[in-house]
Amino acid sequence: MTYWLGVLVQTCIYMIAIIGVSILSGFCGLFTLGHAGFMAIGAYTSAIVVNTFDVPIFVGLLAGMLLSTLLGLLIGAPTLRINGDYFIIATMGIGEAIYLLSQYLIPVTGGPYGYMDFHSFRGMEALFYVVPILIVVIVVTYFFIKSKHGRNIVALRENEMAALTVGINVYRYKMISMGYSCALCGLAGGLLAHYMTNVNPAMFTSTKSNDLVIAVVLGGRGSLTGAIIAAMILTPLPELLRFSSAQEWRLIMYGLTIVLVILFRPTGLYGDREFSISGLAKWIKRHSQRLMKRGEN
Amino acid sequence: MSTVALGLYNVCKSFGGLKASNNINIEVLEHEIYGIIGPNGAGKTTLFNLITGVIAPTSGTIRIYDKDITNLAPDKICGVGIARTFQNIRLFNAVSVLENLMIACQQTIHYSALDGCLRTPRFRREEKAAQEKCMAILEKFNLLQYKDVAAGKLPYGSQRRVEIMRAIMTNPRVVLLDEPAAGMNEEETATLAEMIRMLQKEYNLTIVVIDHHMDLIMEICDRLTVINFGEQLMTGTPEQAQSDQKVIDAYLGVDDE
Repeated sequence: MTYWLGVLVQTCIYMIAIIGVSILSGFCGLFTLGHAGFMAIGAYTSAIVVNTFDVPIFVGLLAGMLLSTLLGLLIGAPTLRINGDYFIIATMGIGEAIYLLSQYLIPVTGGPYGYMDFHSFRGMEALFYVVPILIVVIVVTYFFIKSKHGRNIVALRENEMAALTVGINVYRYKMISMGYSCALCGLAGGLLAHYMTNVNPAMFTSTKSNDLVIAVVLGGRGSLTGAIIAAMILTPLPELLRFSSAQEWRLIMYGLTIVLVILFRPTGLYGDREFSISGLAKWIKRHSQRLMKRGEN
Repeated sequence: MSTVALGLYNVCKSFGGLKASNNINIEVLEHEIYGIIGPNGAGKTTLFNLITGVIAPTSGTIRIYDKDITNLAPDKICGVGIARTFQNIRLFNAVSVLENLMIACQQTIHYSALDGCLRTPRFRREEKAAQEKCMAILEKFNLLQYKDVAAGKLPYGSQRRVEIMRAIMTNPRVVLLDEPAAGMNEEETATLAEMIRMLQKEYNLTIVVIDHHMDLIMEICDRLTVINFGEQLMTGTPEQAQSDQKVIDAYLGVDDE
């Protein structure tokens, strides 16, 4: 039972990170291959701050969020000014750099063995942190993307030139998306640290960075609902496949699932729409009508 | 003498050795509908790109009312009161028509990101005002039934209208229309002419139109400028242009004999 609760906690944590990357890659259209690095910043910062200054966990989480955001903006400041693929290369570089630093900066990070013995969640405590934070993140992000600022971010994904001519400061909104995504990844990293009770470099490899973007693409670029569903499927998937005879095949099944979705739902599971009660009602009505017609024939 | 809404003074733009605009002088008066015509490749769109700050002029000055906008960034130029449409339509294709217009309202919406995230009363008030404004213009353009359709899925003619509406939603003083009648038949062009006149009156605009449809230009423009190979051939009324020998030569070619 505790094992499945653990899977639940991890799903919630990764959902926060995926929602962050969704703002940057899904809504703003800027792909990133290094956001696990920002999770690492959040994780190490939170663990170190809590351990060194003996402050409550949420102070550590805030510190992790802040540092991760600042670093993200620092990387974004020069690379988001120029068009092209420079930004994606920069994110890749920073992800890799953070990974290597965490491995070799042994006095600070503890090296490959990881940073441990800091104040962490005890048992169920993790759920009481993670679930409320996740709910706040979802609600705030939903409000954000449905506001003027969210619309501007989508506008520059859709057509940068047109966005400029309606007076949108493209650079500023790219920086806002970058800051937002780094803040959420930092937060997720911090939560992960206090849940795992140990932070080590292997938790934040480039594979993890890729997983985040894959989740966004699978969910549907520009859909918060899609990001949430993708997180619910992809995070527990490797765990579900851990059991039965699927054991050795689990990574292959994981890859296969992704290929199938890309083949049959190229716009992602949820496209760029959002879940709504009225939308669900319409969907049910349409499909029930279709079923009735089939019945008549 | 009425005020000059948009002024180009000795504007030049070269791309390497090519002179896309050579010493252009245009004064568009307030509330005028002004035409810019010329054969393909004459440098008409370049002129619009210069005015909207997409490219910087090599030399010369561009003014809107009393403000020098020569080297302003495109997003700042929108704030000064210039809006444009594009020759090849540029909409926010994946989002709905209503949202396209709401995006264009962004300059008149002032709430902060925090207001947006927390849905404060200020957010609700400003959002409602913008939405009402967008609905009103949708109704005027008879596109209300398409408000929730993704802009990219609309038929071509409607997309053009959405682009014009989007330009109006930025609260401009001067609107630049780049080939609004491209791909339209006679009947549609006539409707468009009527619409441009209606817009000019309704929103007190100054409008600059580039187009190849001579009947549109001749019908709606108070004055016009003809350009060819970046050179300004003449400026005057449509009647003057029709009888100008240089203009006729540019369009029909010169007899070599």
